[in-house]
Amino acid sequence: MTAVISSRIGDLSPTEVSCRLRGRGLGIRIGPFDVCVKASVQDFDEPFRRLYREYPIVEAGQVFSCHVSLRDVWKLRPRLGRYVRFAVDGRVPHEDLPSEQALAVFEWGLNLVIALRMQCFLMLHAAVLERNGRALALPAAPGSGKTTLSAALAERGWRLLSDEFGLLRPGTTSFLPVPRPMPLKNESIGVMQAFAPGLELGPIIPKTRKGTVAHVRPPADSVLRQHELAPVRWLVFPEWRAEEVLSLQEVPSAEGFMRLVTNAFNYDMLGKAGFETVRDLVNASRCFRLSYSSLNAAVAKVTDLADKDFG
Amino acid sequence: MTARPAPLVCWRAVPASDLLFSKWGDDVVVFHPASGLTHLVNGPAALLLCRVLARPRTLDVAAQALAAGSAQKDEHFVTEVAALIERLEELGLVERIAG
Repeated sequence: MTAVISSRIGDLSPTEVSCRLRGRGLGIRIGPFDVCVKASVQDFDEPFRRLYREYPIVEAGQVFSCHVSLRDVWKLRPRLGRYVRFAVDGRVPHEDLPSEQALAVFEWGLNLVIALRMQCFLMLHAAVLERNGRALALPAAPGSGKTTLSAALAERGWRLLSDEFGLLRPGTTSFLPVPRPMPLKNESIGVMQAFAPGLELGPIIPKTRKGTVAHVRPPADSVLRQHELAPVRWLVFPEWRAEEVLSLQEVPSAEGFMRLVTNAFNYDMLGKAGFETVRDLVNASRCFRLSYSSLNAAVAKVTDLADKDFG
Repeated sequence: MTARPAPLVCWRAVPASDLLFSKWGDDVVVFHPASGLTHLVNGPAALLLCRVLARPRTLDVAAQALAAGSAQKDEHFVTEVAALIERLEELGLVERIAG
């Protein structure tokens, strides 16, 4: 973290952003990571600039956590057309995808890089938000609605730390922010547009492997404060189900522990350090199971908990 | 030829020093670094792992040790302890050794 930061992406003109992406790369700070991005893909620069406009620029020539690139390739299969190829430090970790999905490919690629390479952190598969100086973690499997819930909470004044990674240095119980655009999928896009009509979304990208995807721009304040850690207080395991009656039920710590490690990327790889960090996390928290169908009701319930517990 | 008596089966837990425990009330979470697996166990299972099976024991001796101080020494109790030990064996936390 010695790189020089002089400005934010939004300070650059669209032309400057494109020149850097196509030239020696555009360095951005995302939480504890400095990422150098190169891209020469159609329809990527403008939405990227818009969604990342609050992020600090890290000047090229510094040491980066990783170098990622996106480039156009023409292919005959599976269908003749233009595809986008994602690479990290020169390696291509997965197949090329249709070029109109470039923004989603970038976001998924960055997730992959963090999950596979940043093993110095304990990584929980959890959204993390902060209110009243304390962190709420929402550990859950994909498809449980945690991105939608975190986007809604962020819209209602919670500080977003992440919608995907609960990041901790082993031996500590404060989450590191790594705020990123939040990918809404399918019906969630309409749900969030109804919940927050002024919501700023990236392009709607249909027919991805996860269906239709659109990214919510993270709140400016969450990005500006991405250096501020938040000590844990609530571990809430969310489950969205149609027609579900709202319920926020406290669960025993041991159950919280088991649910947490079920939703960790690298807990078992960290051995004793992972176990002790999760134990300390559980000891510093209250654990709950949240069942809901109404986003409004869930946001109100969780916010009420935070305000009564630590207001 | 006279039939040999069946060998006595004993059970022994993974050394407690090789496991990590965290206790909340009656619930105990056990982490086995060698396998990378975490298990949620009850009080009797934790007692078997930490104390009773620290040395090789037969099922009857283990059941007696678990029931020490209580009246639960009937056949049904021994069957329950046998099932618990076998489950711990499946999890790689207890091993079967020749007596």
